[in-house]
Amino acid sequence: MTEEEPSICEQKTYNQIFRDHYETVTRFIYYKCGDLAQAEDIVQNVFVKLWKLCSTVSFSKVKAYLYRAANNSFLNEKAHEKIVLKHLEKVTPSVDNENPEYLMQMDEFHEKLKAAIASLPQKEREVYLLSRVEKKTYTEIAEILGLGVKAIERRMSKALLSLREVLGKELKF
Amino acid sequence: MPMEEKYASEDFLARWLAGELSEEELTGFKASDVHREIMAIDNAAKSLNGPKIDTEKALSLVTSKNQKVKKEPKVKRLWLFSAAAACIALLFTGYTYFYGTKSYSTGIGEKESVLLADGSIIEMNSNSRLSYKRFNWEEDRSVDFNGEAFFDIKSGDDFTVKTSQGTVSVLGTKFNIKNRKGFKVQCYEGSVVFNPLDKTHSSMELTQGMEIQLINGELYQKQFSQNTPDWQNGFSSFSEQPLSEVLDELSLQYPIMFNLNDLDINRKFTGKFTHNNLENALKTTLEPMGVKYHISKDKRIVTLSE
Repeated sequence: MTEEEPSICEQKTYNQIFRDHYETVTRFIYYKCGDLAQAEDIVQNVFVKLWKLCSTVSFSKVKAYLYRAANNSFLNEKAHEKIVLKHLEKVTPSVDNENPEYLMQMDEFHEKLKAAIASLPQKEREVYLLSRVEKKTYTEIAEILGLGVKAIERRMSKALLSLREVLGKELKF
Repeated sequence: MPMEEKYASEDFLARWLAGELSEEELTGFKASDVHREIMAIDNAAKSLNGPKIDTEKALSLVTSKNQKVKKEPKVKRLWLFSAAAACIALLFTGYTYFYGTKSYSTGIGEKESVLLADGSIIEMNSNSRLSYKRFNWEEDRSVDFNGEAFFDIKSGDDFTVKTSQGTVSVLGTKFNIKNRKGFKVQCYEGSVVFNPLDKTHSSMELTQGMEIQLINGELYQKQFSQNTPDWQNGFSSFSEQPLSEVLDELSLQYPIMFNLNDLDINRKFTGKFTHNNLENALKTTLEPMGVKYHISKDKRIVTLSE
């Protein structure tokens, strides 16, 4: 027999998995579809399905399972033509003694940045946000998407180029 | 600006991200506007937060949905269990098939006939034990044996009987082996070969009507005239054998114990006793030898005296 792993059918284990992964998987789907309600819906259904299939999914593979299942359900949904990343929020700066004019400019810039990211192709957008907002390494992203690290680096460099193209002129130094 | 163009290319940036740029390229790139712009955008992006997500609320939502779902897992579990059980059963069958031994034994006063796969018959006298490996038995006919039995072996390849005193091999014949305190082989038909375990004796071939006996490490050879062993006709016979052997044989055929009371058990006995009546058996053996006896009420203990 194989080594004993915690069974996902145990409510305690299941809750642990939910708390560990629900947020990150939901964000991942959000970056794809740009609709938070839709992303939560997709991921919640994935977890309901996980409960039904709890005995067939092994604990050590559950993370990969969640990402894959969520991605598959996302692909089955009708893609949004135009997305708005209204749920990306700016970190409130800890120091508030900055020049108000500068802050206003920064706010404005952030809005443009969000729009620019939203208009990136989905494949570039998800890689860019997983890396820069979720602070995941290229290796982690490659694992989540089931791709090689090289492919991730390529998508990332495309995203950087596109963003620079749109935003480069906005930057005043 | 050719340099800017070079820096603003997908390949170059991909190499930069992978950390594959040379020292020189890196210094050049870091001084460029492209690098400055990308870093400024990145910094702004890094100060963005992902969407706020209420995990606990979602968990209670999902939990309530889960409770409505009828769980199927138990069935799947059973599946796994039955698969495991099937594997174990298969292993067990395989094991018993390849390594398993079949054994027969008789108790005090019991007799049993065993028919082997090749048609040979082994008739076992009381308190005897026979076993053999099931796997490939017909290619390698051999049995382990202890006690007394009459062997009627169908002709074929070598048939070997392994005993604690040596092996008896035959091609196809009838013979009796008695391996109790003493060891005796009698050949009733055809011929058999006895290979003693004690290598000071060489192997011996017995033909019809011959018997060998191993007494205190010595081999004795004799002729005999019966057509079947006496025990098969329901009695045990002795010629010039010590009383101790007679008593041993009596306690193999009847569930009794002897209380000897300093009796001389080396006196010799010639005669026989029946296997189906204890009183008669005791009378025919002990009275001619001048031994008095008393049977306990439960017929378990026989007390002897001069």
